[in-house]
Amino acid sequence: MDELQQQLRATFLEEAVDTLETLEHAFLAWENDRTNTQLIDQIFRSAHNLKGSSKAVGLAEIGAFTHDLESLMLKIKNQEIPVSQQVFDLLLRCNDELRRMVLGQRGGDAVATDPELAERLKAAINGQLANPSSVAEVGFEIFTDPAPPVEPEQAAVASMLHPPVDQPLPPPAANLAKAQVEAAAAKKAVSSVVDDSIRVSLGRVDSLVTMIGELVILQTVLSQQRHQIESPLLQKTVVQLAKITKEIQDNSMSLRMMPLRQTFQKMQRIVRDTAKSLGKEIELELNGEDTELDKTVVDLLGDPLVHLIRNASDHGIETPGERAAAGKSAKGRIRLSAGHEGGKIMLEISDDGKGLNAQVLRQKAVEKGLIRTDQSLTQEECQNLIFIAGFSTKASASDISGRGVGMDVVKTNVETVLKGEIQMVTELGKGTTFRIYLPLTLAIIDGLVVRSGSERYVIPLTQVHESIRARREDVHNVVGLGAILSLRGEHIPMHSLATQLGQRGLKNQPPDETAMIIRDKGQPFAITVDEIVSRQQVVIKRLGSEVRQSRGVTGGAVLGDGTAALILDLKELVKKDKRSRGAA
Amino acid sequence: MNERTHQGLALVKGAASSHHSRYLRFRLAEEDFAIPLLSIREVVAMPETTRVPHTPAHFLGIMNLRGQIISIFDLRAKLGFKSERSSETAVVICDFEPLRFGVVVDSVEAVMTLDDADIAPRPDVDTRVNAEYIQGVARRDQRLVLVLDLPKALSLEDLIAMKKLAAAS
Repeated sequence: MDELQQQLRATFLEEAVDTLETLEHAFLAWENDRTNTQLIDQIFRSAHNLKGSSKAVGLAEIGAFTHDLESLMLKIKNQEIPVSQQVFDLLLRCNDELRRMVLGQRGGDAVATDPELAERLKAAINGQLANPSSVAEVGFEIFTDPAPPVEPEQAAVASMLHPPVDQPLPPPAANLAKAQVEAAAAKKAVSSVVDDSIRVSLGRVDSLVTMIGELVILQTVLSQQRHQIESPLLQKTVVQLAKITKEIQDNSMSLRMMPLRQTFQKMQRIVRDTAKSLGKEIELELNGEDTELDKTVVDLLGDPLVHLIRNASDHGIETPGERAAAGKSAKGRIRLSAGHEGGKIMLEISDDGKGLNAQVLRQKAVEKGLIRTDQSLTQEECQNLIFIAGFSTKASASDISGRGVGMDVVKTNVETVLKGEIQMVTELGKGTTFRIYLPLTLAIIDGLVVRSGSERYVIPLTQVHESIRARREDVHNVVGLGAILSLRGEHIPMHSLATQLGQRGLKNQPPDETAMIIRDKGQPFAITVDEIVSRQQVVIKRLGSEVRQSRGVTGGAVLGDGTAALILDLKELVKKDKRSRGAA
Repeated sequence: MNERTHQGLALVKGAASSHHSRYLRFRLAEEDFAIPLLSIREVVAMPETTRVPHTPAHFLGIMNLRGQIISIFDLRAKLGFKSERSSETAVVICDFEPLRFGVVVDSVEAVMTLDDADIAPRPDVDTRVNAEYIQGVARRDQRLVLVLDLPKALSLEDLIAMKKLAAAS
């Protein structure tokens, strides 16, 4: 295959993922609005495009399969085949199958069509809809198909883990956890396609942002030297240049932002499949899909969201019978909404299901040996037990959720990977609400620039609880313990940044020391620096592998004057020191 | 970028016929050294560097190269010479996938073309010093040019392994 053809094929595969997403969305919309002929036309067009272009790039198998799918659609369109639940199931499965083949090709493997599905599709075209579409079967379909992927990569992982499509067993927890880890590690995903947008690789955007960052630094230098320029015109130009540079920078930062729409829409499918397999009726209401987040955050958000949505469908919403008995409408409702709140993004997942029963949770935790029988816990503490590793309330792990890897993984993901926070509010009989607070971007942080000796370092502002001037009489050197700082009646250990960083011959010890207090779970501590230089937003830069592994160093940043600085994690840094002291 | 690709192509073509490649020759403590031109991204003047805690002395620190953060190594210090700076001192930014780093050299001399046949194997001197980082020796105008394997010379693999170990413990 020559280079041009390879290029064409790569482009096709990129676009096919989007097309299939559009198709799936159209199928789901059509299922809810069966009289909408516009949707049928749209589906028809998409399928036709897919068929044409797949054949053009020499992917005959995808072409043939799409051809059959198109034939089926044609018969439906001409009302030769009545629209039924089975038809939708089949169409969606075909869509999944196509996605599996496309992703396989993208990964460089030719993936053969599942013969059984192809057979069913052919039979359907001839008007014979296979009918073993029992609830049980649909139940495992959800897992054997790479159907509800958050990201194509995850789907790829899932299909790798379960090569034959009809292997009748849900994946064991270990596999799932692995899939999650791998999916989280995978960064790439397909960017959204809106009518008036173009596709640009993330690498290009990043290099543009980097260069603009440099531009801003040069501009700052120019502005500072402005008074040396004699010509008033030049002076004025420099001022104007500064304004425009600032605007360019703001704009460039927004390039990485993308709406949550696609991620949200994927949840529709998950709710549909989950509800079907459990015999429940659930409606998913979406709000704020246009809320924009950094692309990296959006990509990483998929997994936790899928988990929460599945949990809500499985554990939250009751069966129609139970709901009727509780005087609720038969159809359960899950609301997924996003919006801005105080410089952060808040995501809310709420259901009107049965809520969490604190007593039941407590009981389970005791049975599993997670807490002692006599341990006293508040209602809230009981409810938060679901975030503990190894906790699962269902007696037998169901297919949908309850593998015991759920909520704690979600919590860790949100907190460590996404640098966010998760909260839960639940009311027995009324429902449960999860709130996730996320930073707008992972690429920029608010930092304190501090000086130690001649070097400057960046400390993420979130780490620092307060900064104080430690008076000499408040600092006590205790033999064997080191320096202890008395702060409003509290005694906390005090470290020096210079010592922690191994800056030899340096001690931050002016008469009164500038100390930052860190209180983030665990023991609080103080760390002294020579000076807090400024507070500023910095763009986090990747470091080379020869530096990246250093403990206590989380990244690099370029300061206002163009010098490179390290971003420190004080907790890690101090922890390291404790260990080495313990070893010595 | 284009230029580099171009050089790369020229090199590949050249290699197919007569096995010669281009090298950057630089000076370090009165000696001539050479590294393959293909691995070099650019040469910059000695920048301001920021030290990284708990790193060996020859690791000068990190620098800002147009928004990218790059580690800088002092080749003099690593090879056991005394650190010295002059107006000629330069930093050669190298690309050894996946590593990208800069090395400080005394002065950049010229680009030279060497035939594979021109490069003699490293003389097998009985020495306690591990000379593995010398790929070969070439003769040029009565002077010896040592062809360096930079990642080896800087023990980069060791450094990374060391960091990993430290992070794992």
